[in-house]
Amino acid sequence: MHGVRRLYQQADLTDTIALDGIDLTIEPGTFVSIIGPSGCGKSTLLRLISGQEPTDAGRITVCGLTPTEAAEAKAFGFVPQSPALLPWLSVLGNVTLPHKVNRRHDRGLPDLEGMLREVGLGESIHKLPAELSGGMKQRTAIVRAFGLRPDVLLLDEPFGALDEFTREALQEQLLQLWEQTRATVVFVTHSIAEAVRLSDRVVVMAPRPGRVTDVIDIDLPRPRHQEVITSPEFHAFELTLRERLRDAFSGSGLQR
Amino acid sequence: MLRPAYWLPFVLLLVVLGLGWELGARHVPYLFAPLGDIAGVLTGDPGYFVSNTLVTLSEALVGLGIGFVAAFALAVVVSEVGVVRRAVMPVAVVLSVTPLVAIAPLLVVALGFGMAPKVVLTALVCFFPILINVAAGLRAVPGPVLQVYRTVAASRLEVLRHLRVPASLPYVFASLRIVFPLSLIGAVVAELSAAGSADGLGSVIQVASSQNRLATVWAAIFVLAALGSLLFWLVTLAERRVLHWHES
Repeated sequence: MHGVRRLYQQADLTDTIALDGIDLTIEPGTFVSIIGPSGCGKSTLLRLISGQEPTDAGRITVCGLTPTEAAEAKAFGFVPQSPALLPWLSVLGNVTLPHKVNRRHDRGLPDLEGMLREVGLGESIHKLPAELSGGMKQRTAIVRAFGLRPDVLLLDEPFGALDEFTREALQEQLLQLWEQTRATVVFVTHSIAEAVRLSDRVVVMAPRPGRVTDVIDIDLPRPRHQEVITSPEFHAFELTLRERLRDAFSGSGLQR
Repeated sequence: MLRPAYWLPFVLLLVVLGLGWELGARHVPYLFAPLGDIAGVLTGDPGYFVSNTLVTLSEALVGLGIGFVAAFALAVVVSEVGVVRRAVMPVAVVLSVTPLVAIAPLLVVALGFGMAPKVVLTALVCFFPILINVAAGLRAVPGPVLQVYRTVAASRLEVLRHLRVPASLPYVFASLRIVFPLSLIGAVVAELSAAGSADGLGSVIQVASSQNRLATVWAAIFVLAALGSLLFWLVTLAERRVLHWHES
């Protein structure tokens, strides 16, 4: 991303700057988290990367393609905050449907049932979403995205609505799936611990206008299991990140 | 066996209504006919009521079918094209609250005494409730779902087929529960307006009331009540089948 800017027109026809001067390079195969206060344009950034919205200035390339071309080539998997499952399809139907659209560019059906079993949904393959818990729904949404074999996975606070225990279990499963595919992951989160546990790099953003204020490398060894959370190194990263976030807040004129 | 607490209130009300009816028949004989006479008319010539019921039912269902196909097609256009939506929907809302059956006499003048005015009126009264409901249903796909499928570059046709149409089904059934009874109203009102037209329960009512045969009028009305209930029950049954995934 080079000099990316995005404006939104307000009701009174004035523009607000949602994102400005975003320069960011994400290495293929890395896990990158984006963290920052509400309104800093994290979700907007995801929509720009996946070509859902145009940039007003600057340039984004994904694997050498424009975002729209990359979406057309099925390079993306997207996991929103709400699981966004179709209530009339079974778990298996929900993870299969993305392969039935834009068929020409589909990358082939992987063993979806195997993937569902792997995340503990083996018993629920033929259940409807209404019969699932929140965590199970979100796991289905994650398998739906990974099952596309995308080059880039975009996750927009996927665990934001889950309780702490479910959240940690799903982080573990997300990492497992990711170790197998090694897709590039862009993960939007509010949680400092989540960002540190999952990421190779954490991008800190600040609002008004939405901009990148810091990029921190997390060089904790992988695989990172549950135990890593209690290690002193993990704690040190959490503290650093908390400090940078506070700077991002005060820099934007907000007091805590 | 159901417990008396379940069916007794209903049966008691029926008995009270029946007694009240008989009382009415004795004191207001130009409005009510005795239930015995009504039953006599029905059992005396059941073939007459069956054939006229089939006429009214076919008018209602053909009209409903035409109205449904036309309304669904326009709903798809309305949901896909913003310009059309902003033009059509305000008009549709006004027309859906207008008692369109009022144009029945005009349709009879324009289209004659055959099946045409009945089918057209029925199609017309069914059209707008279906259009409004289905147009809302096609746009009821949540934003995050659309984003998931747009991220994999699903075409508009694929979004329509795999997301919008299935999402609209609860709305489709909601509209059917409204328009099945409406279709009977449309067909009967058109028959009532076509003085002298031979067939259909509306014609039966019209002719019999002009000859002061009250028992026949009421027999036809009871048949219409039964027919309306049957249609409503069939829609509910189909809905339960198709929408097993839906919460309500």
